[in-house]
Amino acid sequence: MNNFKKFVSLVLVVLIGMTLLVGCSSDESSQESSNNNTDSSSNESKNVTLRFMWWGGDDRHKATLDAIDLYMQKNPNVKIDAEYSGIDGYLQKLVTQLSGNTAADIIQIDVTWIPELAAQGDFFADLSQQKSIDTTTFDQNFLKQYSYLNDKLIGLPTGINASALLYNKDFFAKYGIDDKTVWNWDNLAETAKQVHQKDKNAYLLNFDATVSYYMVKAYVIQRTGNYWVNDDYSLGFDKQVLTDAFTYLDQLFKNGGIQPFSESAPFQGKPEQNPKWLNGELGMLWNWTSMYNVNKANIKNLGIAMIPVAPDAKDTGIIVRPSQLLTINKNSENAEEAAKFINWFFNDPEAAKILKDVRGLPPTETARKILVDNGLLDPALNEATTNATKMMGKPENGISQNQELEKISTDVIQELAYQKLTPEKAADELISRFEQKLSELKDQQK
Amino acid sequence: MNDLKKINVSIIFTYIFLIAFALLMVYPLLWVVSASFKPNEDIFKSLNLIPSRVVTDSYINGWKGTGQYTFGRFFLNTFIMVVPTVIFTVVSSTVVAYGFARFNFPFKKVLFALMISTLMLPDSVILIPRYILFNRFGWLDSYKPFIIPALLATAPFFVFMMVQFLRGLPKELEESAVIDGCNSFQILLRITIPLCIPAIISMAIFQFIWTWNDFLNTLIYINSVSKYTVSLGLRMSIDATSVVNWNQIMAMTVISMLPCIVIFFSAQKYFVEGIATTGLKG
Amino acid sequence: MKRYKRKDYIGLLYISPWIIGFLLFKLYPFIMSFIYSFTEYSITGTPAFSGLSNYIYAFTKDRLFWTSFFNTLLYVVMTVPMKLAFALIVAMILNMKIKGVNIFRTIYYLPSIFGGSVAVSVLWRFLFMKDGIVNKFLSIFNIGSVDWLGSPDIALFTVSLLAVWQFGSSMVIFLAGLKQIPNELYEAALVDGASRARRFFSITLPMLSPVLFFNLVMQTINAFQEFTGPFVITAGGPMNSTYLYSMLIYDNAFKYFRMGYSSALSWVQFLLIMVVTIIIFKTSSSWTYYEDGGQSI
Repeated sequence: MNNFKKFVSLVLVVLIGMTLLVGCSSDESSQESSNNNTDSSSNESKNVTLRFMWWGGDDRHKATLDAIDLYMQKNPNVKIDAEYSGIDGYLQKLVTQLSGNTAADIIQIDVTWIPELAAQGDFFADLSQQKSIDTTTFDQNFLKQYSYLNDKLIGLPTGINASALLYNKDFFAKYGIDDKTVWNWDNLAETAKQVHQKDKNAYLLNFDATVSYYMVKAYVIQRTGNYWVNDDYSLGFDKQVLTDAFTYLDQLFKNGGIQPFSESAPFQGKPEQNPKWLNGELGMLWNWTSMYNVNKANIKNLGIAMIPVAPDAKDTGIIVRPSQLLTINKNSENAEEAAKFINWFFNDPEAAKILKDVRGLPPTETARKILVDNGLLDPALNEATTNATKMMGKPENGISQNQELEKISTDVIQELAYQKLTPEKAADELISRFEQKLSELKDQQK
Repeated sequence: MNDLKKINVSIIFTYIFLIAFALLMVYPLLWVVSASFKPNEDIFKSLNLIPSRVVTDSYINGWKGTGQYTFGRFFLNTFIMVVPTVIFTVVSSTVVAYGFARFNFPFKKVLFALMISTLMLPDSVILIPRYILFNRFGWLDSYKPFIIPALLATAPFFVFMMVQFLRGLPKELEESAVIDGCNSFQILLRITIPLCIPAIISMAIFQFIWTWNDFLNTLIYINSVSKYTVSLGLRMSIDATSVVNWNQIMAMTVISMLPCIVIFFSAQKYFVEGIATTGLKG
Repeated sequence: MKRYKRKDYIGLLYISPWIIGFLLFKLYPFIMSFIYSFTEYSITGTPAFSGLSNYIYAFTKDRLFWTSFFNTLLYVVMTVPMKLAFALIVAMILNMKIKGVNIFRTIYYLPSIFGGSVAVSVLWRFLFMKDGIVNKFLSIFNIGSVDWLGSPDIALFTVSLLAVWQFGSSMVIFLAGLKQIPNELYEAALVDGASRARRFFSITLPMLSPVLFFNLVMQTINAFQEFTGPFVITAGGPMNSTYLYSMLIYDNAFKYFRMGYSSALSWVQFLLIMVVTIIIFKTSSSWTYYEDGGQSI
């Protein structure tokens, strides 16, 4: 018995000791690694390690890794650790790292996260203060609209992304729809109706609740010329306009213009995976130009058109925004080296050639020209983006992109689609829920 | 004669039942295997199990991944993380469960309740404080957040499970060992553990597969791609705005399931020998 | 009060690894989330004390609170009995001496190896969509197609089928439990001429009860916290019919960055699960049988 006790206590001591030891030793090593950079930079040799975190698919990973390799060849003192992953869990990881102060030096973020991230704190360095970054190659208006936050340039856009209609040319040919149609609300509704009359299994529009929300917003903004929600958290529309938008949507559902949600529900949030769309039984997907390549891989003859615009629209409601931003962590100890890399990443001709359009249509004129000259850019995509930029409406303000408002809207739209609410009731419902949520959000601001 | 018939009929029914449900169980695997041989654009288009055209480079290209690290690396990493985690979990959970099941110490009920209650808070809210804690220990970008907690029996599921199994064991054997002068640790080693081999094997299987498949925790704690595990590798190229090579992902899903299947298949055989030793009783 | 002997304290030594693990890894997150639940806190900012307002908001203003709450209850009630019954039946069959039992066991465990992998989310949608495999199969028997994932009345059921399908770990635990039942008991019963049903109710079930109890408790706790299945298959839709409580917690934490509110929601859930678990523990004394004669701890 006694022997045994000794044994157990010995095991315990070892156990405790081990955990403490491991704890301590790694504590040191982690401090070491974070101090490492400062030490070496003061050593004049200026060997630095930069962490660069992004998400993407295989093409983006390969191109970015190639670009990093080339940069490291040219700048032997810089080592760049690539931390890349898919989109699953990326934001969750980023937020966790930001709260633990362990985020990478260079971070790719999505433009839709900015309002929510901005509400939480000041995480990103002001790039306009970095002398090594030349931002004159960018369209200044474009930078102002989405990349500035409280007069600070928090990141640089990796690509230009615009709202667009992606359509299946074979579907159009089959149902005798003119490829060159300029869409407005009337001819869209009429065509949608006719397609379904010709073939009960075919629907012109591939809409899920999120896409329907884009549509409702565009419809309303074209009528009002306001923001969806104003900067003072008041609604940018009245009940009449919203009711009209919902009535329009409701008619699309009732006339078979949109595949019923009861059928498309499994593909909510990923309409591009809907087998009916892939098999050419749905004609058109309201989405973003950034989705062009993904859909092009599956649909042989994919066209790209401008979203419907009413002839008397006060604002086109066409959104042109960055696809993502590259930012520098505010707490980065090597912000200068990171800035140099970013400058090279966006402005160097060789980098442009390697990176192609893996992060969307390049935001600088020079990069676009290099791609066009080398035949690396889809002309249809380029043209659609250029046209959208010419016609673009007011940029969206932060509160209009709020995730909670989006949730409320898609909920109400689903209730409309399942005919639990009439358009008028749906408008009432959305307005009352918006007003409650907006007053809460306003309270939090204080 | 009648009896024989009865038995035959019931055996036939058993087989029909087993095979019918087995199809339901195995269909998804067949689908994934077939998807891994399909051309990429066909995967979402058709439900057919037979590919319109057989593609085999999905396995080769999928294995290569982005070119920086192959799946071989991810497999090795996963083993480095999973094997110690499983061993430590099995040892520590068995010891702790033995303590809970066989001794009456002060605050036992409170401690046990406390242990079970740690299962009841969702990961979403635990995630960040735990991350900050592991950051303070300096364990980020390593497998320590998995291995060291396993050493300290922090998976209540397994402790609770072992407690239930231990308390279902006949007591006579242990009692006779006490009379023979064995101390409690010797009893645990020589009598109790051999008696609950099936439970211990189940524990090892579960912990192996769960750690192998763990995505969220590995994602949060591992930064370097060179340390990625298989489950991270499977999702590292999935993005809504990029062309995803689904057939490669399906191919790697098939490969990544193989170790789990092999482990399960070879481990479950030991279920037979469970309680053979009860014969000693007389 | 009970007096403890020296020998009893050895138990503390055995459980000491867990105590250390608890103090090192569990206590801090536990306490922090509790504190956050009384604050307005957005992950990275500084928490600001807000009293009970998070709790009051959940019960009175958040319409998704009650929706997800009842969805979750329904989900628990649907999945746990179905899963346990199926697991027990299959485990008993796979405990028999049949040819190829090793292969059958492995096949029946396959769905659990899939876990929440990417393949499952794609596959489940394909199986249950309008023109999906299940409807194609049903049409052979002239059964009209069902909106398995599209109808708000059915979608939760369809999602819970995924949980039932992944019954493998419960099955394995049952199987291990069955292996522990001494054969002599059955032999003795056979000599007495007990029928199959009688043998099941008077030997198998009581001897298996500690394991059954464990499966019941664990599956209930897990079902209350289910996230992956509905998240990857339906993302909560249609019309929030599969929007479970854990998704509400997740959305508030990582989509809306309301960590304080999310913590409060978690503690509400914590209490609920706690109450249900206590009820199971208390009632268990009437139907569980332990060799040591005690009760469920």
